[in-house]
Amino acid sequence: MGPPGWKLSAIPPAPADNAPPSLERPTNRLEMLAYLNNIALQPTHPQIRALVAQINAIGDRQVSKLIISGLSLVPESRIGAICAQLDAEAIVAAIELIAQVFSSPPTLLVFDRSDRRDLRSLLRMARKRCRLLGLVTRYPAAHPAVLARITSGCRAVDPVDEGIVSVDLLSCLLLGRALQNRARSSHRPVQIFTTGHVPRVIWAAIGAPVHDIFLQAGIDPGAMQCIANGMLAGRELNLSTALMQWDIETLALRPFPKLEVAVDCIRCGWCVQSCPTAINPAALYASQRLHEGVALADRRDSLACIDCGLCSYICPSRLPLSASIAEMRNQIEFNLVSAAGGSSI
Amino acid sequence: MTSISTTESASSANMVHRPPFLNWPVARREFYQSIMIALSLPLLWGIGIFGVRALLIIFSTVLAAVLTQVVLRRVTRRCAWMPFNHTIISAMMLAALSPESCPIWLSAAAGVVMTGLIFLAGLPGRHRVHAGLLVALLLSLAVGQSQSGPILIRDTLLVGHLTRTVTLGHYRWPRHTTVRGNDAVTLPMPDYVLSRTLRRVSDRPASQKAHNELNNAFGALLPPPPALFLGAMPGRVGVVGVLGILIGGLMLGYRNILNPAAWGMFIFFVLLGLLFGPLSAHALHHEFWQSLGGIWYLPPERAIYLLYVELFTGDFLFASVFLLAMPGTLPLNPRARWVFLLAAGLLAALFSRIALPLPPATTAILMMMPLAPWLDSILPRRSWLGDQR
Repeated sequence: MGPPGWKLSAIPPAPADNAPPSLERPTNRLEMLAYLNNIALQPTHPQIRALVAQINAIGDRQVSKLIISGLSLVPESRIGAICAQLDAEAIVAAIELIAQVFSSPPTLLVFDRSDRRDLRSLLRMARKRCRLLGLVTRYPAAHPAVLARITSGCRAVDPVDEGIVSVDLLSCLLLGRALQNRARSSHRPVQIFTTGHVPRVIWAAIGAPVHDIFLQAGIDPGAMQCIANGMLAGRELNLSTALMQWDIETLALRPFPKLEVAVDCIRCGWCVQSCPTAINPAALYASQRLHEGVALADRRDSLACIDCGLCSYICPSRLPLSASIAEMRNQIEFNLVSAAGGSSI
Repeated sequence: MTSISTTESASSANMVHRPPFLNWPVARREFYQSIMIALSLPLLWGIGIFGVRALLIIFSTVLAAVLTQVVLRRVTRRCAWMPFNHTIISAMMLAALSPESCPIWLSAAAGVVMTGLIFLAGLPGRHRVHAGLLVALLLSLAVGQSQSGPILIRDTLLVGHLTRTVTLGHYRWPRHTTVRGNDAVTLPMPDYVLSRTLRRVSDRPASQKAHNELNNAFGALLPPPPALFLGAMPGRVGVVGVLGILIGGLMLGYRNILNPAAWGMFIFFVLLGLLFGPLSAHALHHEFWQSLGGIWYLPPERAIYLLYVELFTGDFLFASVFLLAMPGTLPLNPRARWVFLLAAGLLAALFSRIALPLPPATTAILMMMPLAPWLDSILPRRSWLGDQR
């Protein structure tokens, strides 16, 4: 559940965007690509890059389903509800544009049921165009692959083969604002959690020092630990050097915790139970770190990891499962690229 | 997805808490503590049934195990990684599976041996056989249990003179028992009565003779159903308290330490084995195919009662709750778990019917445990997302 005291008035107005470009509203996929790449949004935005990749992958083929995801890839985040409160009209305009570009496929707006109250205005406006689907659990269902599986009756589907396109609400908001203002976004909403302060949302300039963002929010970070994108799958930021990025959805400050030492795996199996993509993190860890004689898992399974971090989070032995799998995945991808291109990356 | 405090008064707590969908303990210490608390319920029940003697067995086992670990920690560096919680749980399991007539010094020796085995096997998690259970089985073989001697032992310190406890609510002692001294009764072991009766009826389960045998066993030799449920019968210290086991199981299930599906599957396969297995080792040996499913030839009410008695007098409930909750028992992959539980359940039912002088379910699970890594390797879990990439 998000903070119950979170009100629209707590979110400051958006700052002025950059100088408006002069491209017209896109009407087909090629124009949409150009719009996304050059005009509407920064190309470093991960969700926009994902949308561009989806358009490239699907090409001219028919889109069978358009999923607008109000879920967040960051577990602590309520970005869907925040975007809906910031500008529901811009979101609906963006949804209409995307649907038009993809020849009006069946559109599904997926949201978390606990956000229903905050999403009320958006749901009312989008009801005419989209079918609404409320989910109880939003993390890690927000990952496009998991979402495609959930919305396809829990079948193992390939979103590209099935013609499923998914777009998140933040991309819709930024795209809608770009359409309205004909301007390139230079800020994004960020949620800030700090010890002793009410959680808040601010518009953070991309490229600004994270330290300054806290000061802008009236918080002195001091000697605190800063974590971007939550405790499950987030990363620690160095406050003296870190700069704001498009993919930072939440910033949390807390006292430096007492580190817990990792110990041997007790084979409780919780990581296997919790994995949303049905891999065996403990076995992958064993084959990566312990070099056990019997290969308990196919190392290629690490390619299926979506970095949700659930396995590391619940591990009673505090093993770095997620990091280990990511390391293994990078190694395999490096080998694949080397084998294909004959040169290193 | 987090519970976030919105008040300034929450300043001492971190703003980002554990996500609510993870209603589980997240540290090994909490994990073991939950099992410890759940396991203490049937042990307390056993103390209530068997008196101070059971308390001394538990105390001596745990103390000996912990002291051994303390000594090992001082002597070796490797033992520093051995958690006390795991040792205590293993010792509690060992005490729970000890016969109530076990000498105290032997319980203490078993605790020492158990800790040494854990140490030698490579610390918790690395081995795939629970040392506590292994030692408990060895202890059962060493001590044995006289099949018809003075079994049910209670101490006058705790509950007074045994002959005067007949009026206590849930202790309905069989009237035929012979009191020996102040703190023991002669009561045949339910396992022994069952195996002897089933052996006699297994040749012709539908005959009048078999009917009479069963009537005799269930009417006079075995404790009545309420006494079975409340544990007022001879047995192992922590295994007789069915209600304590069930409450502990509910607690472990709530904490997600015990997988209810795994528990249900194990009990289902045990029942399957009891329903379609042979009635006795004798029948199995002589007429293999004809002996299978012998229980179906019994009158329905006798068959149902037989299943009830078998489930409650054996260690099926104890093993299905506590052994399956212990980390490291089950394979990690779901299909491997399914096969493991199937094999363990059927084996447990078979061991029960052939009157193995060991706790059947514990023995079956312990025998399957070394196979768990192999099952994991031949029945791997394939990611649905990996197939697409």
